[in-house]
Amino acid sequence: MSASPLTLGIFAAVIALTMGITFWAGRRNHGAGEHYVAGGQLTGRQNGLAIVGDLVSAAAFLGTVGMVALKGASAWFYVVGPFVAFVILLTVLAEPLRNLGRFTMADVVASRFRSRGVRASMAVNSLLVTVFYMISQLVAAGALISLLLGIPYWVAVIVVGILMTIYIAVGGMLATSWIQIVKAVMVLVCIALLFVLVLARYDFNPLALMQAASDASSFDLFATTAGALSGLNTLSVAIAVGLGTAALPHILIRFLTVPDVKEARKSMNFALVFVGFAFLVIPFIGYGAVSIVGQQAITQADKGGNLTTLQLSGVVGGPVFFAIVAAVTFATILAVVAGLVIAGSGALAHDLYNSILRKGRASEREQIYAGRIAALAVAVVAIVISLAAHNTNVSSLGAMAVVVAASANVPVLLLLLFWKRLTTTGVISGIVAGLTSAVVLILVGPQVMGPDAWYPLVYPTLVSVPLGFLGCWAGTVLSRPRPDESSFEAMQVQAQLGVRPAGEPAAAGH
Amino acid sequence: MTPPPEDPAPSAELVAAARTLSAERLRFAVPACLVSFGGFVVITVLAGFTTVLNVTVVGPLNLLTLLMVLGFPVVGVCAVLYSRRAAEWDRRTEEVLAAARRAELEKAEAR
Repeated sequence: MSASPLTLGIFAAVIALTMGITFWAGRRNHGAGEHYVAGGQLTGRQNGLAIVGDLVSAAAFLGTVGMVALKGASAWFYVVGPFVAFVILLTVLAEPLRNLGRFTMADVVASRFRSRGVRASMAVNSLLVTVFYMISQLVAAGALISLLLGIPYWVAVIVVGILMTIYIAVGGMLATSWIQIVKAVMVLVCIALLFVLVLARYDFNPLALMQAASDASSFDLFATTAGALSGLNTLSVAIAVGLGTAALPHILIRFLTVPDVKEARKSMNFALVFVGFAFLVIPFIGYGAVSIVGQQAITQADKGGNLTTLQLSGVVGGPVFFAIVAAVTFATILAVVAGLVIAGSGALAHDLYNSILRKGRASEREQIYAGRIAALAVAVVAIVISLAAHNTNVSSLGAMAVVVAASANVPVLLLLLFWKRLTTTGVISGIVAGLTSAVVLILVGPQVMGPDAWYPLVYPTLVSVPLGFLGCWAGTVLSRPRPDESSFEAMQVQAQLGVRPAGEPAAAGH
Repeated sequence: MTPPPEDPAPSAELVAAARTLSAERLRFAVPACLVSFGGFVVITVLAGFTTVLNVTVVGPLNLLTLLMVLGFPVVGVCAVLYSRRAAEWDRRTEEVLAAARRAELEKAEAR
């Protein structure tokens, strides 16, 4: 596929727009608070749209539409899982995280457990999750952009890598947030237009659309197949995409970019409306692709169905709409990788460099400088691995990110907030148990070892999430509280009322 | 090992208020999460291990697709109910913090 001048022009416009936002944000990017969490000054609506941008990623916009078209009913789990996890985020995590955190996830845990081991293990965990996720995004982005623009894979990866590094190094979280906001609006408009154009062909009757898709499909598009292994696989996927998406560091640090819990709640409610709309109509766009484009044409263009949305937009909206959707896809990829770089560079520069290596004594200027160097380092590592991983199965890396997030972050965050007995050793052993079991079981599972796999399930969450909880429990009962642990009561006062202990640095925006 | 922090313990009033709020939030969050995420897990189990959800409701629409679609309004209802409860918690939090500030001022004046 080679790009038309129109497609190239719209791609150039997207790059110009994101660069404009970056340099505008760069003039406001003066301190560590601005760099890592946009000064905690985003409004609830702005942050809500940025959360929409994070969640309605290329995987949802392209991947899920293709999955509906080629795999049918099982694709629903990939949109409903993250959406029902909104309730856990809204009612349990969002507001306490806003009150406990400052710049990173490790800050949240360190508000109760001040040992360097806790901060280091949480930072390494965040860094690994972010880099795994970033590599899977970069490899998919490289393949997609090289196909859309007719450029070599390595050029596409390096272009995306350079752009994301500039966004973060110059504009920090403010640039990332506004790029996400602009992209969220664009992707929501595209999804709405695509849905209307598809539905218009069936007299705006969703049942008629489903019937046409059913008639055109080579298999039962709406039924699932039952069985012990398929049942366990479905369950492990559902828990991974639900809990894992809700616990990804680049999503959780979004709650640190608003001034208070009311705005954190408002951002969740605002995001819920638009993510709900997008995730509800995406399967119907997939049904439209089956009936209008056809499964044979979809697999001919790409075996994984990743070009389905673009093929459908070309058929129902013509070449101009195709070019716009292609450019929005590009913007989606850029925005999501930028969000990942800020989360990864925060773990590296704020947690490992400033808080552990410099014992929190780095000046504002040194912290910004470290943040920029860390962004460059994270980006270079991700680019180099992505270039080497061109022909490998990247879905295992994406799976690792959500499974590690579900297995290490969820147990630690829930027990931190609600279990009085939890100790420093419990936190570290929980992170280590969740992280290592998730990575090892994926390495010996079907995604990496194929039919010779030692572990039968694609996603190991059914084992690794309980192991994360077990690690926290075992570490706690086998250890004693350390003198540098803050009391459970003090953590509750901070989490519920927003009262920080004397001597603690204030959250950004206060 | 990092030296022990010097922060003083929060007042008994703040601790009691935080404990009450945390318990009330949990009393809301546990059923809400069970209905939404728990319901989703139950649907997943039924869809993965049995074929009961493949039964037709109307035309091409089967029970599985209907339940998946219904998951969206369920989350919306949970969010609306939570926001109403949280507004009440916000009001109480402000009262507790205002009382704590007054007590601090009185203590300072007495000194």
